[in-house]
Amino acid sequence: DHVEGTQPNTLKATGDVHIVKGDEEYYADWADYDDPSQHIKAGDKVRMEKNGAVMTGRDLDYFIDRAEGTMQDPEYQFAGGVGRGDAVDMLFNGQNKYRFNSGRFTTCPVQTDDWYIHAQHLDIDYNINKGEATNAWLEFKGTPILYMPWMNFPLDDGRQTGFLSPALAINNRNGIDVTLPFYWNIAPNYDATIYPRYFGKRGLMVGAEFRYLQPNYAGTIRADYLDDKEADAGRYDLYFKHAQKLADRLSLSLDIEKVSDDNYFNDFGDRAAVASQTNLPRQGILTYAGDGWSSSLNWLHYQTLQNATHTNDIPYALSPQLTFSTAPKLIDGVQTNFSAEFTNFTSETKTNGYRTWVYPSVSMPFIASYGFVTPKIGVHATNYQLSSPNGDDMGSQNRVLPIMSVDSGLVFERDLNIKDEGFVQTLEPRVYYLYIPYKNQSNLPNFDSAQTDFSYSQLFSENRYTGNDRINDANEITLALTSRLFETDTGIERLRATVGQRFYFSSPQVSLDSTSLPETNKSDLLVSLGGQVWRNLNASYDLQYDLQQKSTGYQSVGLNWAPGEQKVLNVRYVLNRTVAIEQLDVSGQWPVSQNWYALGHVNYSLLTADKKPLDTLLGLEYNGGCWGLRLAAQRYVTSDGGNSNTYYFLLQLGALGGLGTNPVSTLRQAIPGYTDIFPTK
Amino acid sequence: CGFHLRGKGDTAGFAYPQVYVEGGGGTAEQLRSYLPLLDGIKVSKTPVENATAKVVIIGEKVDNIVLTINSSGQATEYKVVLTVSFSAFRPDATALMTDQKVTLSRSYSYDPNNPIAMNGESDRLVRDMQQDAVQLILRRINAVAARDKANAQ
Repeated sequence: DHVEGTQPNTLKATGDVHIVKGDEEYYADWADYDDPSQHIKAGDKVRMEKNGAVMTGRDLDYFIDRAEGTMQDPEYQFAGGVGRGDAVDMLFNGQNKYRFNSGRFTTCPVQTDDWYIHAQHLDIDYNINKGEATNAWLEFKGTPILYMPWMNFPLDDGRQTGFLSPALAINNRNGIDVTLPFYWNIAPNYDATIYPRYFGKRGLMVGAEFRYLQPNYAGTIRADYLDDKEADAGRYDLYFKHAQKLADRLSLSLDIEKVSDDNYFNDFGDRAAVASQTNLPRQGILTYAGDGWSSSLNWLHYQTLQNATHTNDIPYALSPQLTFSTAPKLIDGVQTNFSAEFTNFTSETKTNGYRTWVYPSVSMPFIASYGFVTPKIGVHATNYQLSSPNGDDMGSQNRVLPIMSVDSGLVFERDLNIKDEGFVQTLEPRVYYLYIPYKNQSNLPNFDSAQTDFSYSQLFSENRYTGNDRINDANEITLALTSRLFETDTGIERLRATVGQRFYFSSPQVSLDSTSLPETNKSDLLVSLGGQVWRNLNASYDLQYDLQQKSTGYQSVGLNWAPGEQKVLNVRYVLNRTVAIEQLDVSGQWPVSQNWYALGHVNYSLLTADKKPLDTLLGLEYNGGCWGLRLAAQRYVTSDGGNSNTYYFLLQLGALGGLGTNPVSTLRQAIPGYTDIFPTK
Repeated sequence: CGFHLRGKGDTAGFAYPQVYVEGGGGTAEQLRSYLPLLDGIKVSKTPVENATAKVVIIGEKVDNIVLTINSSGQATEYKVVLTVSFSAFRPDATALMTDQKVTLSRSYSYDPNNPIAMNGESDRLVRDMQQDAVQLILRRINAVAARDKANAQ
């Protein structure tokens, strides 16, 4: 209302003062402004607006160009609504830097006072998007829940050195489980997390993980150590993964895992898949990619974990394995392949041996738009130099087998319109003839062979056995019919269906051990269907059926329905006689009321001997806008004949990360299609 | 029933006569060895400006995950998942489709007593899926290229 200049460049104003200075605006009852020093003093009530941030309070004393000064009783609201709060007084510490004394901070919107960080000093620096609080405590719904002498928090999604929020869980094996991780953002391509973890029943575990990323190499090193007072033993695990490009064509990968004892994963793993690990690799692979050829050197040993319910074989080690393969182009229209391998298989209890094989082959693929014919002929030759575990020579063995095959197929098509959508449907009959003469191989050791599952891929492969110690005899023809449905406009496959069977002109004789195979003239029937059957519904069905015995060797039915955001249901039934399981697996995530989401996963064994759930997870999640709550209970069987029961509790306050163990990675594994209801980073 | 032998239409072969395949990994390798078998398709060793279409295999990821366990807490089935991301470019170097994804998976019975054989099974299924991925990728490029050519005319 009133303005007067007492001296040149100095202004005094009273009554509803409004000052505009560049992109800054000031409203006050009164104000003094000195232009040379850019010094503004204003009161009693002041409102200051700057780059979208709004501060209101009393008695502003501020140097505009240096962005330094003070304000009493400030209430502040940062630009973009990313944070707000109030304090007893505040210091302007330069551009976009603020210190609040005896203040509080939240990322909740105005009038939502769900949580606050209270602190003696609160430093907010929007230049580096970092907040720091000293002598701080967290208030949630009016209740103090955590005190921390110092904490820092990010104001955006960036990585930042500091304590991450503590994690809380309760587990039947370990008691209360509290982790206080410290994240160290060393450089853009290096970081480390150090996570002291206290187990009520066992003591303090110290763990650290270091990650690195360079143009030519990248990797992760992790180690944990616990002086376990319950087991009265030191317990640890080591994990090292490294991939490196040593030269233009030469690369190295290392994969090394070690645990102190058989029960390490049963006690400290966070899900059934981790607890079920049996063999931990110690592996190094060198790979060289030449022009038209490639070669590798693979050294692989295992740590085998034994368990109470089952004794596991100690597997062979590769010490090492050398492979070579090339596909030289010698004649137009003829594909030439040559692959070879040398391996030193070692074991402390079983027959050791050097095994060398070579497999040259030629094929002549004729490919037309309507089909293909590929005749192929090759010779597989193997030499074994065997010795006993203590080094006694056990002689050598040779096996040479010719392998002949003709693969052929036709493609029929038709255009289809289903509900105004254009589709191309194919009909693809395929015929595969394979001939390999019989050679008794029961005198050969089994280093790396196992029978593969009867599947579409096995129907059209030369060998039913993986590895190279058994090569099946074959005089057989495989017939299969596949039909697919593609979207005309995108070429995306929507549905596929296959039926196939193999017919033996002579009954196969080569088995994994010395037992003889049952006489037969045809294989099981294989049926497979799958795809997107309706908008959000995916389905699959697989069947392996013995028409003679009228018995099912394998059957699985899968359904996945994801009708919307945070809505997913999965069902899988599987019967697999090879590994003796029959299970029903149901999982899903579904909103139950506004902001509340239920989730669950039950894996139930239908075997008569079991009739029980093997892996169960039930949870509730809440999205409160500026905070989220996750509660989950998990139970699964462990390989020591016991169970692991865990209760997870996680409170997430805005951008502050979590208070409690974050079960999100467990949920993702357990519930295919799970969407995070309260994503922070 | 309307089925006919597939002719030299758009869904067969490859949409462009000359192509360069960029990227490493099994799917890219199989693409490089499959494409020259197609009638009238030339695979270049280097991209030629305004002449070669380009298929870029951006990345290939293989994940082996435990699918089922038994009541003794041992893994009984694994699932191996192959994800291939790719882009395709017209001969004039403009993008036909970018950052597309093909995901395939196979499950296999797991024997914890023979991990080397299980690695072999996983590798074999991956090669098999890479072969399928090649067909699915070509199908998609051909379909989009056919629509693209129709629009251009």
